[in-house]
Amino acid sequence: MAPLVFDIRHIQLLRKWGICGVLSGTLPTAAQQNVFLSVPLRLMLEDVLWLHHNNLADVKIIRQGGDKIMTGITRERGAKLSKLVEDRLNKSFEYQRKFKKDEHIEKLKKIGKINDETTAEELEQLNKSNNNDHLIESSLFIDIADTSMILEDINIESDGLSYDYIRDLLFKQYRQAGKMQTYFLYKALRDQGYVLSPGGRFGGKFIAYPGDPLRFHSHLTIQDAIDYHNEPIDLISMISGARLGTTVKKLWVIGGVEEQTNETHFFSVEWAGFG
Amino acid sequence: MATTDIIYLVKNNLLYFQMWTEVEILQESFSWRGSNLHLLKGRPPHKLSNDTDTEDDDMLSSSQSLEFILPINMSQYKENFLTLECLSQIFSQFCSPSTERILLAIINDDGTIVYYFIYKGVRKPKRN
Repeated sequence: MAPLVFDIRHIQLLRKWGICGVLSGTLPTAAQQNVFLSVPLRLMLEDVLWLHHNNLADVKIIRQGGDKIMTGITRERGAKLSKLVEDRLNKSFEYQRKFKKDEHIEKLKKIGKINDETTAEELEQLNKSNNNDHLIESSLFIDIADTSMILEDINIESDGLSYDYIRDLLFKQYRQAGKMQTYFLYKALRDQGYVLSPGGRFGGKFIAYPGDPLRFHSHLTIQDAIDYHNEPIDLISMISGARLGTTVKKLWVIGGVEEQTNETHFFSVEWAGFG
Repeated sequence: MATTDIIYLVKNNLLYFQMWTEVEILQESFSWRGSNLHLLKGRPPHKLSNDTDTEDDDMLSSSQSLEFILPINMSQYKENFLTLECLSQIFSQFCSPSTERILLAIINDDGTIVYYFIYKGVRKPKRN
């Protein structure tokens, strides 16, 4: 189960709350480099648990396959939408043409090629002679919508699912995927103001940034939670993880939850610099 | 390797290879899951790369602060030994509340020793 966010405005809001996710949208036949990926935004399961738990997001569960979902979109509706897109594009072109022509006239005035007495015919002549219309035509931008228009047409059979039901389902899913205690580590770090992203790149469960990832380097690689009382720290992975962390200026962090007090305990490890 | 052996191995390594000073074995020991843990303390010969710069300004070049060292066998992790609870206990029982780190000396079965700092809580990496 991959939690996805489709609306750009929602993505902006999430970012403000310190949830960045990973953009994943691309065309299957023309896969893109990471920086060019678009909506939907893929979140970590922990993000969704946190959002749902704090009542900040509405979670809908899609159980059907892709074909079934798309049955909500009829041929006529498709034609209507494509007409709408075309109209929008033409309007945008018109606006751009007018803007560029005005700009061009201003420029000609400035360099003294024309003045206020220049007639429309003379102007036309001038434009024709330097192929201006053609140049404008070739420089028009095509606006591509960043939010799907067919999304609201999709019929998702998830109405009537209660908050509690969805919460139980999410937690059940999460327990199957990993340890519940890892979520408590996630929560504790979020409460301290860290922004968390998937940490596979640095050999951890999460990487933690002290603020927005575009402004800061990450400080920590956080490992999966281990049992506070009975699970020993794997020294081999600690040695390799902390060495890697030292070279990329990150501390290797391990944590767990104490059973009686429900307190989270973290320890940060780094290579001592010798030996 | 027996627990007492590794203490002297680490002590000698720190004194004669890493050139530490004032290395001694702490009197009090700590019984944990059937084994007796001993800690060492000692003073590094120079500022360690992990030390914060402010610390350096305060003390200038006088002397480095004391470090607590916990020697442990690489194989001990299989025997349910170094848990988070164990680390918490060591921090609360051995060290003063101001101690923010202990030095873990991990002894391999070929006699090599690697050193890692463990800090309590999450900590920012050093700026550089």
